[in-house]
Amino acid sequence: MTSSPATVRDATVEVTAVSKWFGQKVAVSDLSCSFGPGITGLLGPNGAGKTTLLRMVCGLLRPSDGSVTILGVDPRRQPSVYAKAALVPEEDAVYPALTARQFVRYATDLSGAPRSRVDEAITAVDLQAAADRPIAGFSKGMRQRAKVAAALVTGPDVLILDEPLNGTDPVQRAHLIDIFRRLADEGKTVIVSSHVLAEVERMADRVLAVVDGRLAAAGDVGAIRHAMADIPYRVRIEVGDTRRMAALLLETDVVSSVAVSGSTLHVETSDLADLGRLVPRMAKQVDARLTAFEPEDESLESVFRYLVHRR
Amino acid sequence: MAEGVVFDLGYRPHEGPRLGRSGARWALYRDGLRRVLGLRRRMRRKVFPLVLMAVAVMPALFFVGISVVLREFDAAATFFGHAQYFELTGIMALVFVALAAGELLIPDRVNGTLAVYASRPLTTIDYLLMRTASLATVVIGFLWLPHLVLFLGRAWVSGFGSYVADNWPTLWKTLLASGVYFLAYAPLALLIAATSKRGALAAVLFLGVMLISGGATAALVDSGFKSFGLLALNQHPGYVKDWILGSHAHDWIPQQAGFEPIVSLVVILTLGALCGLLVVARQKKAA
Amino acid sequence: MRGFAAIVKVSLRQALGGKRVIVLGLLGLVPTLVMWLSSRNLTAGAAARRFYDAPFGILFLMVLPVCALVIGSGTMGDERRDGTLSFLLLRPMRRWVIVTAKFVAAWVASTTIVAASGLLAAITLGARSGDYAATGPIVLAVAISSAVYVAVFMLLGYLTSRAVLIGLVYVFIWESSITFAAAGLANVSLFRIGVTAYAALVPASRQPLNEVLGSLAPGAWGAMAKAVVITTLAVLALASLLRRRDALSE
Repeated sequence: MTSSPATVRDATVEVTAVSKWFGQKVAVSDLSCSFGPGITGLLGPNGAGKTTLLRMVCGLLRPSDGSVTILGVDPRRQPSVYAKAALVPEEDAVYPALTARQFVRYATDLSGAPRSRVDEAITAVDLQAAADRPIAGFSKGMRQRAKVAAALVTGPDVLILDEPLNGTDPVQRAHLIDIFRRLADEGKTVIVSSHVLAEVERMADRVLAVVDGRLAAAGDVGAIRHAMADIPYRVRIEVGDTRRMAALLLETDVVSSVAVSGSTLHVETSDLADLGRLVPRMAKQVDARLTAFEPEDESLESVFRYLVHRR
Repeated sequence: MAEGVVFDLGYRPHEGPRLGRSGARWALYRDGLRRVLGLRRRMRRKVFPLVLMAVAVMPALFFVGISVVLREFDAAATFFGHAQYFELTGIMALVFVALAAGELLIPDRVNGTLAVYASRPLTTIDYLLMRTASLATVVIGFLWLPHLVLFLGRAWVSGFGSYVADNWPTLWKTLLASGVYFLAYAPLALLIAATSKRGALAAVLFLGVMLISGGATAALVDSGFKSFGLLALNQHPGYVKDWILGSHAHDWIPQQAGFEPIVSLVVILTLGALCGLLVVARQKKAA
Repeated sequence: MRGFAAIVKVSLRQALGGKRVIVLGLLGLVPTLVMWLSSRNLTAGAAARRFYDAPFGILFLMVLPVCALVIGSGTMGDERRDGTLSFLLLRPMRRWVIVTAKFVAAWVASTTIVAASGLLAAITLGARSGDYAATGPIVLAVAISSAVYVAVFMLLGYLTSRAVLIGLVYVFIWESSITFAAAGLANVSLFRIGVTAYAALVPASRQPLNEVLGSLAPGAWGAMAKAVVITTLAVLALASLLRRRDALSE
């Protein structure tokens, strides 16, 4: 695989030119990427192919074309690799009649992991109080945590999570993110597919964006934004004399539009770096106090929106 | 001071007529028909009901065809009389009811959509009545249609007016018999469906109960335990049907046990009422 | 081994939990009830013949297939519908091990219910006729027939959501009617495999069973061999499907 932001050097999961179609519907198209230690966020609108990609990575779906390996092995040919990989699926894949403890113990027994880890995993997801209640009576957030516990108990080197934050409240979300972060710091590969962009932005070291079954962008969020040269940056500037600043800005080549709102200017520019050099000089020139210079669309949400609307 | 404004994005509340409870019931009935017949669903959901109906009507069409070709109605050429025809369609109705009952009651409960009905002007009784009505429409229609075809076919070749004048009671009798079959099968099937989470499981249990009761009671009645004849659940509708049509298609177990057809009818109605009450209680608990 | 045992344990709990086992258990009491009531005041010989008239037929033609269909078709089918199939497949276990464990659980569950029913009926026969020779063979026959039914319905339950419908047609139309029509068709009748084992072990049953079922070729070892072949083929076929097919939930 040639080097690109879509690939990592010490990859544990490699996806090579993978496509998947279901009849006439192409769910994933010629997608290549790799995942390594740390947290990788997998983003995309509904129906983009994220879940299909993750299920191919796990070996639950056979790629129509291309190949997938986990730790150098095709999981469909060698189920032994599942001792080191775990999936937390989006769907409600739990046994309602079992208690949380029984469910986690079942996962332990199936994976050959030591039973001593059961209580550890349950404590890690903060389910101790409900551990001996049947899962049938659990809320969605509790079921999510039970699934995460069942995945963690096997001590995986590769953890794949499909919408793991669904149904969780903010406290539980923060708790789960801490767990994922800790695993990543230990050198595990964590792949998280999520719609909660703010949280993914917080926890992910890199993101892969999938749109219409194709890889739309990969890498660091800021770098992805910089790579979108055709879309002007939006910058918020707080300055004392907005009108004179606006006049000066419009005389430059790098600014395409300025909107004034009280003491705030919303500027569109094709060259953020250049603007960043010019603005302090202009402020000094008009003898105005510059209090803020902030890109407004370097957030993951903005990047995501641009990626989706570019198709 | 902070200001706010709401922009009209085109949302408009419904300003048309409100159809109320009757409209809701009608919608529920139509939805039930669609589920049972597989309408507006994938082709594979339509296959079974369509095949069953085709198999039920084929013999009638065949006999009518023979009669038209021969230009006369010959009783000897018609292998099935109205009474015997129910032997064929009765078994099909049993299997159909087994599968359709689950389709009507289970998805709403398992998928959690009962709450949607509860937020409409519908009571639990409305819900169950309309579901039962849609099942009744299809099952009774499916049972009666071949008889209508047979009747009209015979009338066609026998001098329409005179045949109809002489034989019109056959129409309401076969319709009534179809209703009896429905009442004999549907309540128990609906009760089992109301307590199951899987339609297939409910179907197997219902059929198992019906068939095993027939086999077991035959042996017991044969051994002298006549009262067990009342438990031959799949035999009562046939016995009542013969009574209505004035025929003797079969030696029914309740008949062998010495019971009159009216007793079979009472058993059907009593079991139906009991199952109905239990279904209502179960459904209210689930809602 | 631990994983195998865990799958068997959880699957047994799924198969025998809930209201369905109560209903199946009650259905299982019918052969005993029929035997007890219908053989009152009969001689030993007459009681034995009565056993093969109805209770035996109800057990093998109705109770056994219904139990096997309910339990067998749900074994893999329910996992797929509930979305827990991915939970099972993403384990470091060979597919045939997973399938074998599921089969063992379903077989034990089905055999427990039906064998208990058969055993009670055979004990009732013994109480009426003084001959308890049928008790062991009936358990063996149930176990054999149960194995083949469960294996076939388990495979069917994974292949199609219409497994129950197909199973019903097979049991109540093919097995209960068509295979009686021609001797040659008896070879494709699953319940007869167990019955032939029974007939081999209980010689007194051959004549009444021949009258009821038509031609019967008694042979316990032959029956067991057939059962092993059919279940092995079904398990391997299902394992192969799990390996090759996409694990899509419904």
